[in-house]
Amino acid sequence: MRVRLVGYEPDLERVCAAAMRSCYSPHPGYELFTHTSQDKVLDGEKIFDSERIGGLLKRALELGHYDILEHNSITWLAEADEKEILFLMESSKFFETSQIDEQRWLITTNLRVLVELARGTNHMQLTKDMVATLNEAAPIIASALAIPTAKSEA
Amino acid sequence: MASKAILFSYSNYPQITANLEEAGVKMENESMLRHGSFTFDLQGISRAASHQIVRHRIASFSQQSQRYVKVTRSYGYLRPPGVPEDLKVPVEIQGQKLELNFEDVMDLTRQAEEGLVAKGIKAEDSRYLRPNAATTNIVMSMSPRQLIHFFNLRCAPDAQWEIRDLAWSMYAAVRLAAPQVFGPLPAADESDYIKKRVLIVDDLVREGEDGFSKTRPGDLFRLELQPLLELVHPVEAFVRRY
Repeated sequence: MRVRLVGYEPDLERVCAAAMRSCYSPHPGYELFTHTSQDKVLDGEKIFDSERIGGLLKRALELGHYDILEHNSITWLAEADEKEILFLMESSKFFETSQIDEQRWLITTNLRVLVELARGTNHMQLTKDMVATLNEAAPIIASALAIPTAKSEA
Repeated sequence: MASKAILFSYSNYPQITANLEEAGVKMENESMLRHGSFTFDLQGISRAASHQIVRHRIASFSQQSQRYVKVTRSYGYLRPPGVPEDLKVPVEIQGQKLELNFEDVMDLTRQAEEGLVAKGIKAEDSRYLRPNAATTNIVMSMSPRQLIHFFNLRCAPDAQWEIRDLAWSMYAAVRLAAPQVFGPLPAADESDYIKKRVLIVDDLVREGEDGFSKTRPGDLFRLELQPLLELVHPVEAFVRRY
């Protein structure tokens, strides 16, 4: 496989949604992040369940408020040439790369960059393969962007 | 009220390393510094401190809005310990001489802001009365490499006390969460102050490891920083256990 997902933070969509909501709430981000049941009362806040998280993230995509999607990192082991890596690094300040050998690189960026790549006009195979892994790391975002899974694509 | 530094999302380095080893790749810890992200929820910090924090790049911030969150639901302030609670200063308003302490002035600005809102002035304009001491919440993410740069500058003895307290609390939190990538600070080589405190953090983290490992996944572990770190004001540091 040309691109292999090797790391991302657990619950990264819930982190992004909590960060987004914390801008408009008297309650801080972590309190929102853990507001998952009726046991805890957060005045004026809906339960932070998957429906709520999905609603917030889809709203962020509609508004183009991609900044809140930066609160995470996603890392791949990828086969790429220097031209492809240069393209990535020119496209966003949020790309970090380490060269492992002549062909292999460790590449890290965040959800914001992936969404921009998915919505962009460039369809380089490397970026398409990276975007395809969104289904695992960020299923709500992948579904909102209608990204086919690597399996269904095959 | 204490400020809080909650490390609630961060790269899982043991898992990344295992995934890489499965693919036959071994990375040096130093190379991993650029691959990852640490997200803090900083609660109840002053706007004076948050203004300094957001100067750091490359990082990501989501800060509580003063336009959308009503002053009546978000009001708070942080009095610098260097300003005594009972210290009064003379002021003159419309021919009236008054002696006000820090709290009095905070109360005045709050009353004035709420008064403007009550008279129909938009929150985005009324908030111009909010002082630097006003507290805020901010979610902040940085890569390990950027965090080390942040710690090198903000843990220094000449850093401002509030951001320095926060920086040391955050440094202790990442040392506990990701010992694979965070070690002694490079700035310790040039500063006895930093070197001494890094050793204190070493001890605090060592003492906290057992409790952290026994913390239920998903829960927060509180790192005891005081009195050893001698923070100027109360900051509570927490790490979410995976």
